[in-house]
Amino acid sequence: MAVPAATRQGGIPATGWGRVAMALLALRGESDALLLIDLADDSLIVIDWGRKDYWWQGSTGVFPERPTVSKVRVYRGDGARLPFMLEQPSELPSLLWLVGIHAFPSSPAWWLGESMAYRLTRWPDFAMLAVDPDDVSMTALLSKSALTAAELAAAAGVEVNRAQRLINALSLMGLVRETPAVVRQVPVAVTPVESAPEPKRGLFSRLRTRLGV
Amino acid sequence: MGAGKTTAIRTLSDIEMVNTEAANSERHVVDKATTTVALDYGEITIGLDEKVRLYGVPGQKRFDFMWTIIKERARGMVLLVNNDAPDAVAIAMEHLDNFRDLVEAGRAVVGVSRRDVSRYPSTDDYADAIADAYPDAMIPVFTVDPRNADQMKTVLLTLVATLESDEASKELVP
Repeated sequence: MAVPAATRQGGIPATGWGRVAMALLALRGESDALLLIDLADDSLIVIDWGRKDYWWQGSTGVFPERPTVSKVRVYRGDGARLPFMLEQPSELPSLLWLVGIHAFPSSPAWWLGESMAYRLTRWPDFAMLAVDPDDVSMTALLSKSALTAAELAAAAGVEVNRAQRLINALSLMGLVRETPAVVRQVPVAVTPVESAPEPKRGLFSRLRTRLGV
Repeated sequence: MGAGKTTAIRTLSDIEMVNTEAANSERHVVDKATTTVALDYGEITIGLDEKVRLYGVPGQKRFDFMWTIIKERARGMVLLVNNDAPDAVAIAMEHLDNFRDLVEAGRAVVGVSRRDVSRYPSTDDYADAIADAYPDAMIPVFTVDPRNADQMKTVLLTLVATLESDEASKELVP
């Protein structure tokens, strides 16, 4: 069954990975489903939701950040699984991560509420994903506290959009829980900026430099 | 045994790794010629006076005296598990229990090796078991190849990030 693009208030349709993300979100809670995504470059992504696998036929090996999605089809119900595929599948979380990062590049994902904070419920398998140390650092912060995107960005020393994209991806992967944001006191600096000592870089920062990542 | 502990330290270490191997007397358990009988040691030099010291401790019960020594000094741990071992999740849980204090403090990462040989158990199977036993800790579980430098760097950086995020979270005052 073909799935029309999800629309936000005002009738603006989701496009590209945003459209795919909305289709994937609709499968949450399903045990068996097949999702077929036709891209304009003639490649086809087949997602076996029950097995949490996917195949990308015709992939160039380079993940397109802004693809044109021609069609999205979903098949639901018991037994909606592929009986076999000729190639070894890839594990779905790696695709969810990339889709989540790129689906809404400059805004919260459409399914996220306003004024919400996020707390990690499980670490993604980072060694298998295309991550950088900022992703690791931010995820570690979310594992200890519920933070808004702005708070996460401030704590990790990154731009808010960067933090938001991480939250979008972790949310699509089902790895964060949403809670109403708590208004926090911002620590007030009592030392004039000119005489404030250079903050000592933590071990993470020093190790990251040493490892060249 | 056979999870890739020696290889992992060799992958990360700046120095020629010091290791103490001998002939493997348990070939029926894991078919490899040698195994670690004391510990492996490696280092990553951060600065003139700063090093990250890496200790690879054997997992066999007869070396549990070493665990006590290491536990007192370690800031965190990485548990490497061989995914094609029989009952791999139970083995992982047993080893984590031997380092319970570190695990409960969230100062651990689990690396699951040989998932290319045996896809199951999945990393979620390990994470579920850990969450049941340690509901207040959140322990990362990663698929790793100990020969892969990028993956091992991610494991190490994750461990350090979890250590430092404890301090960072205390600064956020409600």
